[in-house]
Amino acid sequence: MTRRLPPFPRWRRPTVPPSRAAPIGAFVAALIVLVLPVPVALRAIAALVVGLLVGDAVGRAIVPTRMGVGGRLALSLSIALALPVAVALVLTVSPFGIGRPQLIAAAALVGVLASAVMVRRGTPIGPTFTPLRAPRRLARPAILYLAAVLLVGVAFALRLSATAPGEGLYSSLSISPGSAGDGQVAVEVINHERTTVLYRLELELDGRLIGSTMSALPDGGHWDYRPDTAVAAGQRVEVRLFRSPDLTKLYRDVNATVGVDW
Amino acid sequence: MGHAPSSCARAARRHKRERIVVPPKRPLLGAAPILACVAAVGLLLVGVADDQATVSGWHPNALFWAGILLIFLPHAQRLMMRDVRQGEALALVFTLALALYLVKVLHSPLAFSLHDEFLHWRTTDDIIQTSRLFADNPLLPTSARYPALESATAALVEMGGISIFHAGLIVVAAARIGFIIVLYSTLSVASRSHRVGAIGAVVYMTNPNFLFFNAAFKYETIAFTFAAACVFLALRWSRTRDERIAHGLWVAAILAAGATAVSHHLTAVALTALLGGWSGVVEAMHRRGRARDHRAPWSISLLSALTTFGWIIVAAPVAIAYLAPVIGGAVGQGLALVAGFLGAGRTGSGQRELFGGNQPGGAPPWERMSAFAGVGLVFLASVAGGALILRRRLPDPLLAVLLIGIPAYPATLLLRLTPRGWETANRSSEFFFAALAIPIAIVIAALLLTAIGIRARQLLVGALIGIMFIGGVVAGWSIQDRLPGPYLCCSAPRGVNQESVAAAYWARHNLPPLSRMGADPLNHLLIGSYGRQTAMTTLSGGIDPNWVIFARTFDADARATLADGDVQYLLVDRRVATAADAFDEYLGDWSVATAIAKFDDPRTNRIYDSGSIRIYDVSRIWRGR
Repeated sequence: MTRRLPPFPRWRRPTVPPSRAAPIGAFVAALIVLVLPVPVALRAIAALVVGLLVGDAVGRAIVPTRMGVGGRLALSLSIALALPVAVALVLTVSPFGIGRPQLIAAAALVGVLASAVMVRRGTPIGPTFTPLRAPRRLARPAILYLAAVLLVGVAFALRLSATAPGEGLYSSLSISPGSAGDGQVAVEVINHERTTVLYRLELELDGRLIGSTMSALPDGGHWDYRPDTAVAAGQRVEVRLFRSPDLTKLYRDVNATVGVDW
Repeated sequence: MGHAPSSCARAARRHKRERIVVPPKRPLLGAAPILACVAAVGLLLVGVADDQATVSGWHPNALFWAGILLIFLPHAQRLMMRDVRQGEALALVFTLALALYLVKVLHSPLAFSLHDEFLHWRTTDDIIQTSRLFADNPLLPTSARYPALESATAALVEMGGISIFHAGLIVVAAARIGFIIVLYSTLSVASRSHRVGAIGAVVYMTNPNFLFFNAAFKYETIAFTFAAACVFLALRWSRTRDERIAHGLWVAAILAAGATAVSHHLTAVALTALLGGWSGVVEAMHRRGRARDHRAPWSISLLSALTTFGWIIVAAPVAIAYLAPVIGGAVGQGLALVAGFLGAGRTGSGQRELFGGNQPGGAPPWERMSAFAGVGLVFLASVAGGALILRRRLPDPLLAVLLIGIPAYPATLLLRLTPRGWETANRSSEFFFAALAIPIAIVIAALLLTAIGIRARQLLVGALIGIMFIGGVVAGWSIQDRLPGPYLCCSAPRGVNQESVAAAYWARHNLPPLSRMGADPLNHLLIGSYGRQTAMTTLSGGIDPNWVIFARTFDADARATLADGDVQYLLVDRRVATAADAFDEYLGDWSVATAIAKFDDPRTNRIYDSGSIRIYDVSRIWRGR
């Protein structure tokens, strides 16, 4: 009598459920984005994803039990907010200081450690995504939330377009040392008048007019004027600004007695 | 010893099973998505109100109230209904917290504009510039010693490459939403009812500071989240029987207590007091054999006390010097006020007019009445709720401790009548409402169970909570700060405009960093934050530069003051002349114009002039004295 052997077990490719792979994939992808020279918006989103996932991972490593959606969300958010504080406290006493590479390295380290704890405990890594058994049920809330987001966008667009009449219409005039020790002065005019303005500058040294020049500036434009005349310590410099339409009426003036440290 | 269920019990169970009627499938998240759209319409109205206020247009105040009530009332009404499931309640609480936060963001969508926000902006900037914590912050020295909010913001700035303003908005949004969800979860666990938890969260949102002050970029905002998380985890820990889980919850609670200790002094002290009181009540009940929770949370209380006071002693002794005069002054004036009422002191001495007095621009009568009605309702409902809790034979120990808030809250209201105490009273409401939320929520839940018709009950309760919300907004934030508008000298938010900000940034890019600089009370915030200068304040041990700015001449006193502060630059905003009353204490028999005219002195250098704002180098005034 022959005994039939049980069939040899066929090798099956180990499958990682999406609920476990997705958070790990998102975490790694976000970390890669953070170290690449990508646009700021993408980097900001990646930073948020890393922060939230690390917070969630540490929360699940410390408290592996079911806490309900509210409890879990609360714990993850709290830890996501607390971790940068702890990392900053450690980095501030370290020789490295608080900087972008150090923070990314710390996030990666904490994320890996928390994941290792979860693997050891057999806790699912990251939020568990249940399969969408009824996608039609999702359509209505998704459309409604999208409509809400669009309405909020309109509210912000409306708000950003509002400017108080007369608010912020001015030009500034300033004087400062040109560069250390060369006896130069630097004069700067900035236009905040929401229109192109013609300016005229007069420069006086110890009461003697030594130059006059004109320039038209668009809104937001800067005019850096560096007169050729060198100024010695103890001399008094006076700069007067006139603007269109009346280029003879004094608009602004600044002055300085040049110090030895100029 | 177990036994098999009797045939009678089996039959009863079968009968029950057969009677179960499968309800029709409810939409996912219930009414939350449609109410999110309603809240978005409310935000649109608030946006229109802000827009109209900016151009002094069509009824901005009415539009504002319509907008925020459209956000608040439908959510509050829905959360009070009995058929709201946990997922829907969570979505509603989340949406409501976010929408109310966006009201504040809509007020200043391009930059921070509230007083405290500049103080913490400076600490965040210091962390980014120096790559270290604890750099001196001349605007608010304690902020540098409690750098949690700023660390989280700086981390987002560094990693995400965004501005401090945008990172701050995100961190505050996360902290605020996190706090409300933790509060909802805590109240649900404490009351063993997610409905009471949801109503409690709504009640908390009626506190006077919720809409604007708590939404600002300041250290309490994040500290509240950590403190609430600590209480939530400790509560879960005290109720779990599984050792492995209990260990994790204990560790998480300790971490949350530690995070609170490095976030905000008063919140950390309040958390320690709450945990201590809770431990005491649990211990007392356990000794009488009445405590079901046999684990007294002493360890968390003690570790919280250790981290809180350890941090104050080791890292932040400056907090004591900062808080003592504030609290001492408030208590002193409060006692003087009580003595005045009792006839032992001068009546009316040091009293403050509520709602901005009767001057033009003060709150209209209906708002004042709502504020009084709101306060009255909060008091009555909390007393009734407290009585309902105490009627139970075994009240939850945490709830029993929170009942202390019921008599304490009205006592703080007295401080609102004093000039130095009103700020303390206003800030304390965010703590007390966390204690009052459950008693009031229990009363509301009980009212909804009364004999009158369901519609009438819901309308009644909705109206009551609506009055509480309106009263809170009116009591917490003055009418002129609620909406943006034309420039208004000389305080935040309406005093912060492009010209002041541009002057501060000019100082940042053209003057040596951390130069000693003086300015009026608003501009010193800007030059100390955006300008990255050492703004002179008495808070950081410096001088009060207003004694020089508003002096008639550069006399010996003014020169001595400048020398004491080693002041190199003074920023003079000529618009202060439009609010001369605010600077009466610095002025003698001369005008602001006379005081400002003294700066046209050959010993000063006028190095910046933008029309309203001038920056002077005044070092030669006092160095050559």
